[in-house]
Amino acid sequence: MKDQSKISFQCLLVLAGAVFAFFPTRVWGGDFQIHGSGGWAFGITGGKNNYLVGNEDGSYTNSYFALNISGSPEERLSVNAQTIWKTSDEGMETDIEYVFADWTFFDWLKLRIGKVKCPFGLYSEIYDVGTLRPFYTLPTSLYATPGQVTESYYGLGLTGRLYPHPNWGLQYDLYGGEIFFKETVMSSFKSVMPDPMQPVIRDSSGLRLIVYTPLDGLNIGFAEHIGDTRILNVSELAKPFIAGEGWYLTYLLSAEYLTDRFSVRSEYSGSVKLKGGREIKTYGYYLEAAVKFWKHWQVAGIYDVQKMTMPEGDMPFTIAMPEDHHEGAFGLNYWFSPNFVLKSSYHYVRGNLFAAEDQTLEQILSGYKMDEVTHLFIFSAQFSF
Amino acid sequence: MKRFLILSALAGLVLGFLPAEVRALDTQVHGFGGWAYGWTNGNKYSVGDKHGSYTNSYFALNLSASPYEKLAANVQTIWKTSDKGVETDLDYAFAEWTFWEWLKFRIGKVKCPFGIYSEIWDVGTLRPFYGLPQGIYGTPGTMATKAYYGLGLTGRHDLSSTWGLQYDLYGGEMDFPGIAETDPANPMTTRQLEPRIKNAVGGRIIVQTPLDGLSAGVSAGIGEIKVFSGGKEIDYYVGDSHFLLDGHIEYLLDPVSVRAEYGHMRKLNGKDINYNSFYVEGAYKFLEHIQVAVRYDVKLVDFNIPELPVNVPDSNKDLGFGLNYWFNPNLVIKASYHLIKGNLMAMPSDQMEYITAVATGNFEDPTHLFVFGSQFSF
Repeated sequence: MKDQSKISFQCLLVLAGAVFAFFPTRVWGGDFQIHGSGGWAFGITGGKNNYLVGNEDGSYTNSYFALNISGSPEERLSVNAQTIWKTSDEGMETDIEYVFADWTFFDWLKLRIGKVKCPFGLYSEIYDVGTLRPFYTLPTSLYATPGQVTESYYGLGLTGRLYPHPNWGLQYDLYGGEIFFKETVMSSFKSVMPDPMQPVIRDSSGLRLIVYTPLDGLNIGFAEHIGDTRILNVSELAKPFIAGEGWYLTYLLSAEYLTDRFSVRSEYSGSVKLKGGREIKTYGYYLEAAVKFWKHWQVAGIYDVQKMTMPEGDMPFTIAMPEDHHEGAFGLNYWFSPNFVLKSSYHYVRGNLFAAEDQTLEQILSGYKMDEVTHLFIFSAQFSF
Repeated sequence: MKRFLILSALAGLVLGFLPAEVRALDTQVHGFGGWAYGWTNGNKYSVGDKHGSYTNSYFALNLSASPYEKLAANVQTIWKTSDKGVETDLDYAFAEWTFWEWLKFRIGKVKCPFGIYSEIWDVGTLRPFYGLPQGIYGTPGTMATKAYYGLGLTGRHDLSSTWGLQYDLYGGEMDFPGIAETDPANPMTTRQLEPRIKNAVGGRIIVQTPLDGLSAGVSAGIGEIKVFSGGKEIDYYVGDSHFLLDGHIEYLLDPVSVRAEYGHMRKLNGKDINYNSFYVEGAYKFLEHIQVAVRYDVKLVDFNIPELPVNVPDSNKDLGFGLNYWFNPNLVIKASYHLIKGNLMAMPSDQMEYITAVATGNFEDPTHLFVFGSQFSF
């Protein structure tokens, strides 16, 4: 499988290079744009578990700003970059989310190369744009860490759109390279393993198809990627517990219905081990819906599930690894304008896969039971320009 | 938490149903930067050390955008270099909704309306010395911070054709610059302390007077001090609810600038640390480009903590003289000499030397600091 992936990646490289070489450049007036999206949240769980932006005492220090710069020095070329600054109780983080060049051969064929926005899932290309979603955070099952979706891949890809019929459209992406996920600290083992682990998918190739239907606002999609999953930066203490390495096929189905008043989104993602390593079986899905009323108000709901099954046996000793996440949440938002929104939400979470207490080594070894249910309240604001 | 909820409820009541008007996106980019060489006769103080430090530089990128008429998004990020390496931070990122000129709502990581300099912390072309007055704005024991996490109300109101009023009310949490301190568990090493004020509520009022350029103001706030290390709250000898008061006066009219500020912080119930700081800063421009400046800056600390060694320094007195050359209002070269008495902030850069000095009471005092630098803005 590894060889096949390498061949497909090399074919993609050669194909892209060949197409690239046949098109002359035409100088065009430069176009430079700056956009940004940011947010702040107060989150409180009231219990011992930490979850998303909330903790027991209430956390105020969650804020972020993503600076997006795009330029078109020539007609066919656009350069896109996004950096992010994030604050939390853990401190400050900064990152380059993506930086890539996009060369337009035709509207139906564009080449992208660099650290490229990852075409996988409904939110992966608008991860930080809080004004395009009803909750402050993205659905945990697919987008939290450790999750199934990331913002970018390192490599190159082809993208385009076709409208074979006035009412039907097709968007497609094909890409290859390496995918880095956000660094991960298992929330329940933070005290014991404070250094973040780095999941990475090497020799990865993927595709995405989105079909735009005659019903205005409705689209459905399919995405997948195949690659050799590795967990980097693993401490000696954590090594015996590491699973999930090896060749995996990860797939995703999505449906989205967006109008001015209604938004409904749903995604299902799972993975299948192809070869190597101790298998982690994972699947997750969510259904998210929101409706606007009285011009400025919006109510929203989400049901979000992830199930992770760890391999049995061959552990040095038995520990209870959290495997489930079930979440139901309701939100009430006030939209000052499409670029600025205040959001409040209540989240009921069952399971400790993501909502967990920071345990000591003694607690982990003694089979300490965390609170299974977590209540999270978030008050927040998000903006974009 | 209770204060925060009350403030949230107040803000919610104020939120009306004002229609938003679409207008063209207006994005502005500004930047503030600087570089300094600092040399002292021994101690580490501000940008200087005994070897002469060349690596002090910073750049703050400031963006503001108005995608809607009543909405402004304001963001500032900063990159800083020093002998310790590069640091980057999100100074602030907040949305501001204008109900009326006299009432604006802010939410996010918001510029902190405290004192004279907290909102223009990095704009070196708006002050006569390279560094801010250390007593109120320096570490350790800074009383001011650039931003709070939370929400607030701000506005301006002209009381008459000559009197004006600017006011701010806010609530949330503030974090302060980290402080390296000897680790009690292992005195040979240091630990990084991250002080925060949680559940903070504060406000500021500034009065613009009929005398052109003269304004005076008061800032105050209360909140619970909590100290974190490595992301976890620790037991520390400073904690619980504290009260902060700051009074300031400013006269700015070319060619003269005079500023004075007094800050006081103490525990609401009981005692731990009391801070008292003040400075007076004056500057005068002549021959179009030249400016002379002088500043007297004092910080006094009452340590009401029996556990502390008796020789821990408790004062900083900084007398500075400056000579600047302004190419234009956006670029200035600054030179200054500072005579510092006390070792609260001027201290050995080596941890072992500091521990020895605390044990013996034998600090190097006074400290002489020479700063040569440049600051710009656009």
